[in-house]
Amino acid sequence: MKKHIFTIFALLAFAPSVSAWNGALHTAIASIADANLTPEARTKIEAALGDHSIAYYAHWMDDVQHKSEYQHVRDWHNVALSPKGKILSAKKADKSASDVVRRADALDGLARAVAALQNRNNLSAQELADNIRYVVYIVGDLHCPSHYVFTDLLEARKMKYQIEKEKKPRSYMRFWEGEAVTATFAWKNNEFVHQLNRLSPERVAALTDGSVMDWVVENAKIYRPIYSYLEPDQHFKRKEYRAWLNKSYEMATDQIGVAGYRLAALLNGLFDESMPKKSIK
Amino acid sequence: MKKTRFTILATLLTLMVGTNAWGWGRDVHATITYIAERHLTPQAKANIEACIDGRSIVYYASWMDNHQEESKMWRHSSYYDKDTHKPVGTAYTELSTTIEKLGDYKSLSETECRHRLYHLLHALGDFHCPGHTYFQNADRSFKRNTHYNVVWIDNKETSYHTVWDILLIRYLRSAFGYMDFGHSLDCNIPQQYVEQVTAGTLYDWMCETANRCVHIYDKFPKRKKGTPKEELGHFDLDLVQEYSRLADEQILKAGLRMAKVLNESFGK
Repeated sequence: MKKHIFTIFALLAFAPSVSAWNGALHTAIASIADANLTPEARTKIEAALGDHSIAYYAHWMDDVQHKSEYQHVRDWHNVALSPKGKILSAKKADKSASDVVRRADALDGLARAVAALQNRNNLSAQELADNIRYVVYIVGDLHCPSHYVFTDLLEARKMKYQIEKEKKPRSYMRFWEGEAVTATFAWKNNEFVHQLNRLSPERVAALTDGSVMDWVVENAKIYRPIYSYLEPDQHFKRKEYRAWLNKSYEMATDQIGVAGYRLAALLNGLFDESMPKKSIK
Repeated sequence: MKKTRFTILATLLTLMVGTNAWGWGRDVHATITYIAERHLTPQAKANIEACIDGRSIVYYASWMDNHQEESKMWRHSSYYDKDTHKPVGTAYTELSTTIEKLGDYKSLSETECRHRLYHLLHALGDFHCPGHTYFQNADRSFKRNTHYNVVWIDNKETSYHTVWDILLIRYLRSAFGYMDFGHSLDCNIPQQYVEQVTAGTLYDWMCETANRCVHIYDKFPKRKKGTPKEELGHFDLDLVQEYSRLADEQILKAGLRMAKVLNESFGK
């Protein structure tokens, strides 16, 4: 038994990283979405979530994926793409493909959750709440630059960098999950809303136009260049690091707002019949 | 007597923001610009945001710190010209120019307008930081500045400058973001107070800041480099209480004055 427990822990310890935006940024995305829900959608959603807002459950999926009943969500973080930006199906991936590619199943997870919510009369209260929480989380992750797995850039995902006087190098993928934003802005949750929930209706309409896959394709074009921002094992002096941060914070921060608007559009379409429905494909 | 003292002080002081002196932390800069934003006229707010892609002015509160290469024209490695015995390239002169130029912002190129705005949003805040009031001594040296060590309440040695830039506010207000902090300071302020604080010019505000902040040196005279820790001044919890009001008031004043400058420039 002891041996089994050790094996399980060892497997967990060496499992590929499935981390996402940090909790604060997931919450910011959900809060911006919350500010853009229609009253009807918000009423129905909060009733399903036990009178909690979507922001309350923004990173819930991260918090439960260690449980046996939620193991399936561990692969719902990343999207895999060909060098030309074509979305690849994790299910159809070749067995020889990298583990991170075979586990990049976020779009399938989102499609399943959306389909379940479209037929929510068949769901139990628990299933209804879970599927809303999946949508809230996965749409956030689909706007995190490091969650786009380009098959020709797998080695680049392992890049690290080191800042002077620090003992350990930092992971470049981790950088995009928080520091790309928080190293520049120390905003609290309501402040993300104050800063980012201010786009014109025309701009919001343009950002939320199209399907979820259109959003992913568009994001992939924005995110692919991040792999050219850093040299492998790059060392920074403090001042150099600050200048380097300036390449990334504006885009990373703006994507928090974009994710919030799109999440609202998706949820409004699901829970308010007067609103246009968003499709996955 | 008070007036004479003030005049002498005003003549002797030169107040600057240095490259190696950072200034308030980003939380305070965000709070100052947020207070300013709350006091903008609708017209000024619309005109300003049209210049900065619809963003809030708070977004750019620390742009100068983040983009040091692009803002180096406002950062000065020397505060004092030994040959001419005059302060050169001072932050005061530069900020005066920026305020003047923003007064006719429509004549500026898009880039200059943005950069002048970013400069104002940051530098006017730093002007109100007590640790950034450097006093010119009678021999024209700049010995009265906060670049020497004290012992902070956690018993660690730190720069007195850092105490005013960051540690004091972080200790007192770490639970606040800029919105909470801004609301707590800018809460039911009488219009009469706003008018009183925003009266005068940038030069008047400098002099007032200097006069209010000079006493921060009284309890912490400069110590020689290498002074043993036990002989350094200790910034204890009593001092945190004593100085918190000064720091809070400076932040509020900076925000109100920033709004005044912005309204005058962009509210036409």
